[in-house]
Amino acid sequence: MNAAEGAPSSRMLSSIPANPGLISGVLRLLELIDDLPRGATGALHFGDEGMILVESKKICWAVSRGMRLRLTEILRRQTTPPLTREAVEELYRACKQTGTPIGEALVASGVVSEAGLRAALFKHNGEAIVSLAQNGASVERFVNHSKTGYDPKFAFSSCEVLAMLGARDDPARAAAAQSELDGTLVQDSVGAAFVRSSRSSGPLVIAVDSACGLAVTDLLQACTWVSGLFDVARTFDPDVFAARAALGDRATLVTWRSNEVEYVGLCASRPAAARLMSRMAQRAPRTSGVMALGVRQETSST
Amino acid sequence: MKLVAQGAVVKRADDAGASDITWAVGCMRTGVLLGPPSSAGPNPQIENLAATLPEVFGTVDAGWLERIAAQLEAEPGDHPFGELLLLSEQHVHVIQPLRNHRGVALLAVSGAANAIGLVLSQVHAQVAALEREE
Repeated sequence: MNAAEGAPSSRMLSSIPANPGLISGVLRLLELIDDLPRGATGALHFGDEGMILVESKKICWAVSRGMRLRLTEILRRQTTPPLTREAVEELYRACKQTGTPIGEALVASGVVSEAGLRAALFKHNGEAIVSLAQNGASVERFVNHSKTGYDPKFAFSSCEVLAMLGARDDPARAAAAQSELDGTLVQDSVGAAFVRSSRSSGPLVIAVDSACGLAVTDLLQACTWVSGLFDVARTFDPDVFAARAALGDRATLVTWRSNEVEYVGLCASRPAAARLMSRMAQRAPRTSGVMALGVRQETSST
Repeated sequence: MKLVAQGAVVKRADDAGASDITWAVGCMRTGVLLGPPSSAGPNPQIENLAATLPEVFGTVDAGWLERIAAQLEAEPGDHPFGELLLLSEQHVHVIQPLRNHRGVALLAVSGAANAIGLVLSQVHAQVAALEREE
């Protein structure tokens, strides 16, 4: 039995088309989560439409009345061949008696891997949020919960959900972008990949580093500025493919582009930015060590 | 205020490669060079770089920059952006806003795309010299 570990986010919402209206609807919901006070734990209630459980701005659980797939169904499909419905229901009954979350029980029994459970929860929560957006759900209230303790391994940032939706545009491209991010970002940096798409009015985020906890609005503004920077750079050098901008004494934004995909890396330290930029420099052809000397000789002889 | 980048075309060669830097000082609000570039003649590349200053720096909403800096647990700087470096296959371009001359930036273009550190050390030395000027 093979658990579908680490399934790329691009496969998560295969049943949902990403159109501009849907993306803006999802953005609206994600902004609600980002705007919660730091550390807030509780449930955003959308009346009869559903709810989103949040802990410290991370999405732990979401449910929507209009969802097509339930978590147990997604979990069943995490294995090859799929678990039988009877096996899941039996486990569910046992969990109900002991009060154990079914996901954890599946992991403990070895039926589903931790990565498989995370992928299933990601898909479930993503589909729920998309469904809430599709139904135009409006938040009625946020109910604070005094009890915390969701496993951070199974909680998701708003950026991750945004990227999950954006990845629908071109799953193969999103998977490649995720791989590029994973292989390029260094310690003390987080990042995202985006494209320019008619499916969204601004940048379409298609992959994020799992540690990226930026608010979606801030991430999109950073992407928009980066897009503009590359556009403007064409004025003086059409071959600009990377840039680094200091945001303060330590924080630095590094951006690069490759195969029509643009990347933003946000570094918390100067060494991180230096390492990331060094990786970019290594991509430039190493032919510029020898300079044309004509003008210089003329200048130095005067 | 008179600010002119010091020295003509900087020439240096070592094991790491050579850097050949053209300097100029530009107004970040208008994109106009505030003095002739250090190159022997007109330098369209640095003039075009200067022309982009208003668009690069003038349209930035400081809010998201501050929030991102805070998220990275860093203090935001005086300017929306500090040093800005752009890398192409053949060139390094640097825009360095001056602290003591608000709204003015040192611009540098070098063909040593494989020697960023060398270029930056020379840019920083040039900036230090400019900052000392009244």
